[in-house]
Amino acid sequence: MVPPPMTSYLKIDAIGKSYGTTRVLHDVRLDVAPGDFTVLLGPSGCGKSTLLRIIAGLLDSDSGKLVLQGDDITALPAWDRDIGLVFQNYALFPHMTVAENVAFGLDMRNLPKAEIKARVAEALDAVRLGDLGDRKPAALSGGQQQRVAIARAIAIKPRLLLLDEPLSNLDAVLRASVRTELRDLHDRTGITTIMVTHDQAEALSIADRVVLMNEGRIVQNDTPEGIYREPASAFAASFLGSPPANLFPLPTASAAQTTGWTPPPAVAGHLGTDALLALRPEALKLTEEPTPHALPAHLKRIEFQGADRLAHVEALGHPLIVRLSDDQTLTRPDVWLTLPDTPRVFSKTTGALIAPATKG
Amino acid sequence: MRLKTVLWAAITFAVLAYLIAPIAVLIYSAFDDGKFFRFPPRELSLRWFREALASPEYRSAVLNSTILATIASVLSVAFGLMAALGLTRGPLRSRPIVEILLLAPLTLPLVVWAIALMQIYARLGLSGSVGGLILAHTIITLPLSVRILMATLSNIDPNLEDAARSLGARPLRAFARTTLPLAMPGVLTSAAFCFLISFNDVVVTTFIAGASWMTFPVRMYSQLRGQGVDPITLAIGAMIVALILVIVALGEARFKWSRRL
Amino acid sequence: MSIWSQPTGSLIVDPTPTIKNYARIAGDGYYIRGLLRTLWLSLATTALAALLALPLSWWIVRRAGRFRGLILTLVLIPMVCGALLPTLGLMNLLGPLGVINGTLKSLGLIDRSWKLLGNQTGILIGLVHAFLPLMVLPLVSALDRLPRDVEGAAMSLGAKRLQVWRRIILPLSAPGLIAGSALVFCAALTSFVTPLLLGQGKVATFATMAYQQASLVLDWPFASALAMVMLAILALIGTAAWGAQKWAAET
Repeated sequence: MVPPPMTSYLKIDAIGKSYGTTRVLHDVRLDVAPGDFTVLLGPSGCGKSTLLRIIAGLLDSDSGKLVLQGDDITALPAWDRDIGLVFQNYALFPHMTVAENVAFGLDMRNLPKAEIKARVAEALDAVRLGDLGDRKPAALSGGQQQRVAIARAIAIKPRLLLLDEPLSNLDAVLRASVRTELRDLHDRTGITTIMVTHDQAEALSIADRVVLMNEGRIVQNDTPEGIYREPASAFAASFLGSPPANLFPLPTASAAQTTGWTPPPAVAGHLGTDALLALRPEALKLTEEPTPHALPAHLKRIEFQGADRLAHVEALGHPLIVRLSDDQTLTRPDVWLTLPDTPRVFSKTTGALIAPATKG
Repeated sequence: MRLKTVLWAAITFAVLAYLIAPIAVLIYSAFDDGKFFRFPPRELSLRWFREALASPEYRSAVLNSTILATIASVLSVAFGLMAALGLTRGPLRSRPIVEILLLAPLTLPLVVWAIALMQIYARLGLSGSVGGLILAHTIITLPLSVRILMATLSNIDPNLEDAARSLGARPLRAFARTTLPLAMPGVLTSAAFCFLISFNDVVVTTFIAGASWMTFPVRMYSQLRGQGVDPITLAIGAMIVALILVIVALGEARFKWSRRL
Repeated sequence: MSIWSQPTGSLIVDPTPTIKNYARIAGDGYYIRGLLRTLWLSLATTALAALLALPLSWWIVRRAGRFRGLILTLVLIPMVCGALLPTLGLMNLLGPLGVINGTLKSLGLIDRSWKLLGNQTGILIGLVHAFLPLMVLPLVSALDRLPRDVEGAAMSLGAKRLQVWRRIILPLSAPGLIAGSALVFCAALTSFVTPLLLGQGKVATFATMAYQQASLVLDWPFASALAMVMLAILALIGTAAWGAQKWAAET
């Protein structure tokens, strides 16, 4: 694992939370560097939204401490935290105009009228909605409503901007462009941002750091490239990527021998142990002629995806997906599967990384 | 196919006519000049309206009813709003039980309530007191306001208050600026219905009101029991019905009352 | 309180538990007949209300279109006007010199007035009028939940109009019908203003008896006992309706 950043803007220190007997957060620790765009990624129910609400102050944690810019804000109520939050359903005030929505937080801070007006205009311009201030939220499209929600949150010049699944209510076409816009906005304003999502592609494309969560724990905190290339657990390997990494259980030495497979030296030592290989579809190669250390496989189907073609194969009784190179043609069902020389090996029972040994 | 459509409409309008007829007859008969209503009438006039407006007993009775209904509906909506907030937003653990307790009066018939309240009041020495009457009317209208307000609140996104808080609003202010204005149509609707129930109530009031605080329906009821239909009663009844119809029509046009029950 | 007693002619309640009041209800033919009469009136009210409410609710849900709000408002009128004002109108509608008799007489259709007040007919007309909304509202909400295509689907499978009603619409609207029936029955059972005024004191129902005991005779324990009997019937109806709902949901 990569050591935490040196300077900590927000320090999440052993935050725990239970609902009844269900523990949703297990003493979560996280340091967020100033100006970073951090994405909390995980399947639904992993605790990421709960953590976001605790940071916002809308939910009390059972234990642990939150430190923002050196101040302990654990006991500070939401209205005194200066943390902007964009809700998944936007939560725009339906009885107020767009401008009134954006002005709400400034109004609560009793700022002079002229300053409120200027800052509302500034926030609306930042999300390119300058001319819609007089509309009611119901008269806006989903994408526009979302930008109002962002403008409302940044108008208070928050110390931290929190985004709760901001893209999940948008259609697929809009999602890609809003992704870019969100990143642009972050780069322009420089506000330290934490976003929650369950969409791994979104997380990889937008984040400075991806914090992967599962079952109430942070399982990996890394750069997008780091988390993709060097997953620290079988879960991380299988959660990221589209399609995700193949998890391939290793056979016993004798079973390998029967099929006529001589595994690469880095793998051979794990035969017959409690081990899984995590194999990215693009790291695998299919050939019609055997190569050294190749595994005999059976080609079942080729799925055309436009830019890519995915080959569905079966090897040693396990299904695998292989991304084919552009010019490759396969004519026979009996093929050979070449593995990378040093694939990542995980424990089948715990999912923990066995090889290669962790750095640092 | 055609004939069937006509038949459906005919049945529907016959039933609607049955529903409206008594009210229509009430308004119409108030214009009969005679001392006793008869159909067809001999002469139509506004005579009884003039006499009704001049009658001190009826004026005080209508005034009493109005005051009582106003106070009871305000109390009912205030308590109802608190209960509905607790039930839809609060972390009330025993929600189903609380809900049944709050809504029970809706299913319990008024006569049973009346007999029970009468006896409780007699023990507490509240019989015939205005306070007791207000309390009784608040109790009988509370379930309806809880019901309407719960339906209203469950349609308001609870995230709005959280959003207001994260923007710097203290809880009370967050409620006053977001949930409350959005709940206003429901608040007005339940206030209006509570007012009407309280204003029109005969059952509970006859049982527990003393002679000192005569409400309009009680006065009208004893009149009908004693001397039968009297033209002044008709005129007042007609005016009140007309007023109710206007209120209900406005309520339906503005707040879609028929969808809130 | 219904298990206490009150010696005749005294207003002092004797708080010794007794079943005297219940024995009096069970032993006196007057109360038993009153109870049976009340049950019969409530049952007839419920049946008539269901008969009128079914076509009306159907029409409101399927045909009323933009008049739906208006028509529902009209349906609500008896409810928002309270018990008294419509009753007052009914007295002038049904009386010997009232609108119905007056019209029929001036058209020469009848010589002597129909007797529509002071008997069970008048009470029935009044009760159905007062409690029809209680039947229509649950029915409308039950029919609202019924997908629009079911009749078309049934007819495409060869069902005739009447069969569609019997096999599809009635079973699907059963929850609303059951709820409405329970509400109307209970309301009719305990109503006392309508029977008292339209019955002109000549038709005693259970609720008017309780009212007499409580307000005029001032025998509160006995009035409570009568109220308890009504409550027991209501509890029975409530349980039956609940069971029927479950049964309807399962079949």
